Amino acid sequence: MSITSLPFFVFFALSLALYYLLPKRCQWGVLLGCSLVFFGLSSPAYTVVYLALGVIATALCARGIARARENGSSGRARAALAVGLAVDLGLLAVLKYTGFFLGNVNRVGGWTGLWGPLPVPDLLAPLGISFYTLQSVGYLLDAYWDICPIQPSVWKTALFVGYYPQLTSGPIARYRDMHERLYAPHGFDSRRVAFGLQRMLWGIFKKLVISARAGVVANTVFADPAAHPGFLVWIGAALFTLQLYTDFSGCMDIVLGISECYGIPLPENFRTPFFSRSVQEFWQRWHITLGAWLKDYLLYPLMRSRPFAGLTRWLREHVGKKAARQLPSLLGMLCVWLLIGLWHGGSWKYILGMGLWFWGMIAAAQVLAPVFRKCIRLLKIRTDAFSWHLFQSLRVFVLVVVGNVFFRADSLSQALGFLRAGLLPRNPEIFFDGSLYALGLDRPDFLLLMACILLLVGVSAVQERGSVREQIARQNLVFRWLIWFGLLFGVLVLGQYGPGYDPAAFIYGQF
Amino acid sequence: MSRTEIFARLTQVFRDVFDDESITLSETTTAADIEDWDSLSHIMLLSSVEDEFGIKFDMRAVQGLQNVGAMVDLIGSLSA
Repeated sequence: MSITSLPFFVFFALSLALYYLLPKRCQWGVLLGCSLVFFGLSSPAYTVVYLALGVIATALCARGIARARENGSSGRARAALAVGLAVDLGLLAVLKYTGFFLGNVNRVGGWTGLWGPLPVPDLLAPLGISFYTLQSVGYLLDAYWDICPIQPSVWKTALFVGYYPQLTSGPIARYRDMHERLYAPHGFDSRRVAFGLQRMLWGIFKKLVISARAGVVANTVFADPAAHPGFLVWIGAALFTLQLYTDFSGCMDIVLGISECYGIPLPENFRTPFFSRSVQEFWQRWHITLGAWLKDYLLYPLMRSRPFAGLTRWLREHVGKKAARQLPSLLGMLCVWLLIGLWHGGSWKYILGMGLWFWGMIAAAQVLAPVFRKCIRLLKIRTDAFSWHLFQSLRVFVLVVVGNVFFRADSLSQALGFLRAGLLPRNPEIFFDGSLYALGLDRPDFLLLMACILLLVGVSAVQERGSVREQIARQNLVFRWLIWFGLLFGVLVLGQYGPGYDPAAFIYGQF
Repeated sequence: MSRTEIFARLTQVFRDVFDDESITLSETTTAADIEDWDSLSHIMLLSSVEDEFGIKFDMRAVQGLQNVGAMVDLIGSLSA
């Protein structure tokens, strides 16, 4: 069930009515029931077994960790953690990556002729497994590190893992931030519900009006890059990045808006990422909760592990302080980036294209930082000027667009072919001869898309100064209603349901 | 180990990690006071501190660190 479909809105309205009409002590039970219904309506029924298995293992192992700590047995706590991680990560690995693994085994078998093709089972992973697994693993590690309380109830753990608004696309929440909000009683607050609905509306606008249109152009160009060389390739790639951003951040606006209506704030996943000055900063402002999760649960333990400490010591003694400072962190980041690539899907285009590309950009910026600083000094560039910030943000945008080509292409080789088609563009006439209106959108639709991009930049600029909804709420009644009804009519009239658009598919829903 | 001694050794660790010989630490120094002290260099810093003092921070303790003074207290308690 797509969260932008009419059945979902009916489901959401009913859930909200139940949530506030039933006694407050039942509220978390209502959310758990809604989550089960949502899962049942969105995913084949049998996949709930995988979800249940993960929830039960997580809940029992967290309890095992707590009991072992009470008895002073660190060995048992470690064993309980290992079992929990093995079940959660094992389910993810088997259900999502078996095809990728066996596909590579078969490829190697084909090259070497040592073994014949192995059958690749068609396993269906439950909805949102990549998101809820990370949430469960984070909870188990926090429990082991004694930095979060333990939830004794399996049902309440099930709500934390499977809370339906965040189930399909995140954000990846932490139990220590969520437990008080998730199970606490919430009284009806009209202002909070109105704010939640407003955020949902903005998210739906981004998804149905902007993302859907940008997607039509991106689909046209990516379907046949050879027929759209030069600047057209880059327009397709740039609009895919816009599609991805408005799709994913729009989805987050809807998810956070839904949860706000229940009185349960979720962590933000975006902070105007295209205003970033560097690729590293971009990734601190895009899919924030995934980056924070990888930093806390992978990079941090990895870099504090014995092999890394030993490597740092060896580099300091044999190579120098600078190498000891930079190389371990670059190596740690490489592991994180390869995993980010793998997390996005079992495909080399994600691992090598996305993962290595962004790691390479961040590593280059870190290693070449002294050179850049020297250039800035020599050229007497004022780094506090708006023009410099604009240049930096445009540079980040171009680098992100290139990385996203790997995300969008069907394979690594298609991505490389796509980039080749865009190399040295020599067709500036496409901006004036009407070619832009032959990419799936006619002239009015294309100009509307451009206007929406300007609106998006304007809203993002206001967001930099604080909550847009708070700022609108301080305006006069007529102006407020003009904005919100304008947005609603915008969705109803301009919402795109045409060719190349599938209302059920949020790009990040596939993970 | 006295607090003064911890401060002296810790200052040297900070100077090595951030490659800045001008760094001086006080009880109230925080990440906001040192230009390159971001989340990544924080991890490097903690590893270097562990290495220098032969200690191992646990996650619970690390989470509660508010400033350099708190870090000195923690190092003192772990190396006592």
